[in-house]
Amino acid sequence: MFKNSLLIVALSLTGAVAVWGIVDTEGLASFAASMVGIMFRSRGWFIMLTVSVMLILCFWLALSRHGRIKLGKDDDEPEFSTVSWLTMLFAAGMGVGLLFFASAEPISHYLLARNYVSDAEAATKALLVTNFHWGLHAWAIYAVTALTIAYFGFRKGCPSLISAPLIYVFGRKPWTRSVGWLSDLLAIYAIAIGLGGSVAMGVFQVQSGVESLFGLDETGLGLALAIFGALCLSYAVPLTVDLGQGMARMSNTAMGIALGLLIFVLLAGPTHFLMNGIVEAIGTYFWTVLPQGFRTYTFFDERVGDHFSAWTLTYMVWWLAWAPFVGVFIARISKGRTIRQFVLGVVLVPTVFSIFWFGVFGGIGFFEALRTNSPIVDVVKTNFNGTTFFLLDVLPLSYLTTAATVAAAFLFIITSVVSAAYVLAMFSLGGDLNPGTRVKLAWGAVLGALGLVMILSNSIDAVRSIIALAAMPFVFIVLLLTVCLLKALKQEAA
Amino acid sequence: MDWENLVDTLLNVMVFAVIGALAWLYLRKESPEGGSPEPGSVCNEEPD
Repeated sequence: MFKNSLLIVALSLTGAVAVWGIVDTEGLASFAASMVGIMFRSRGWFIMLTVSVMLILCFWLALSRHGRIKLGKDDDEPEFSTVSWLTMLFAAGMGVGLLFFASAEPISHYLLARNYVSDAEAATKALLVTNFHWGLHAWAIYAVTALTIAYFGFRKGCPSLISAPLIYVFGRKPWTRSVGWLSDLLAIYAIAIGLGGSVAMGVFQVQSGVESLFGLDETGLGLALAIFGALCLSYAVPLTVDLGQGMARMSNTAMGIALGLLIFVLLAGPTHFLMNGIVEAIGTYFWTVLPQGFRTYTFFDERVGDHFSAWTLTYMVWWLAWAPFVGVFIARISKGRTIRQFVLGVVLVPTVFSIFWFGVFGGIGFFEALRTNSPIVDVVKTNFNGTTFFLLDVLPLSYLTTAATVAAAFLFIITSVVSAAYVLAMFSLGGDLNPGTRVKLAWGAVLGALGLVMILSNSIDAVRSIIALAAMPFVFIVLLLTVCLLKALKQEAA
Repeated sequence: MDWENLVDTLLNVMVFAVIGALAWLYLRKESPEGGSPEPGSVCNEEPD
């Protein structure tokens, strides 16, 4: 374990960030916020251009002759049915964020937009921006990363490492070894910090749910730490024993609960209002999605610019932080599919689900804001984490739906942490598909410590800044992977 | 030129350089020993 330089450096680097955050939480959060501010100001255009290029590339790959190439040998068949495949990849890509931002995000955009346009138009724009964050562009980042890992893994026999395509395409040279080593390190760093953020987000979500269930006010850090402790105990067990199909069942249960909540809110809420909103969102989104990807709001005032950085740019780098982790997972379940099936499945289907999800949960928020005297807008301003539970409270069986949301959030975090610890152990051991328990536990501990740092920051904005700072360098790595994929495809077609 | 603008310029110059390097990597011809002669033979490596 201690002979591997990548493992030692990666554990030391992420561990150092965790220690810094525990000792001086405010210092780390303000450092991350100021650095991210500088990066986003200078490179916002580059991030938006990159994600738009990723999306265009995905559609080009699906429609070109390369679309017929199989991710595997020519006679390999897909391991999973299409429905199982789509369910698994969606659960991996979105997780607890879906529950956390379900209603709070659209209403946050609405709060800004209504300063510039009418309330009705503001709601439409808010849904468009939310769908943009969770739609085609997000999944294009995952798709390109996963496609590269799957193509080189199953078709070229490389290990599932970020560095493998680089070494395969350009040969084993000093510069490819150095850049490859750095790419693996940056991938590990981005995954660890990104997952730490998800742990914190999940804990905030569970905390708000528990407060709502038991009618508690301002439980503060005490309850958050108790939930965090329970979470650590829950994920330590699956890290030490191989649960086999157990993890898949846990993930499917969480996804099943989320789907059940979606259907319940759609049917128990103002169904016609929600369906009208969804249809409108589909039209607005697909009509404007490409230009939206190139929007940088540079001619708007500072308030819009800050909102764009805090949401759109942060989301895009957040997806980049998750890309190596989700990419490995999606690649592993996609053997035997053609590039066309892969790209269309990964990019289109989850996007349609997201539009329904935010159409229902955002829609019920807009119904409360526009058609009733509900204080929903104030709730988003004062208790962002509790927005979903506030809205569940206006529907029947709120005790049950709140408990289900808490359970789903808890399961999403456990499956994410256990899977991430496995991927981190695999990456840091040079692509070993059966990493030892000690290494997985070490990564589980680092993820827990990073999660603790972000819980101590007690602010979702601080969490997002820390993640964004860690993920920024990965923009370059994703582009490098793209170059490797395109060169290899060109070579195969020649 | 103030410091803020200087940092902005430097960060963007880095981006332009990376874009240029990526374009060059894509366009350049690989020497026969550069790529992998047999799939999987080059990318499998034992950890240090």
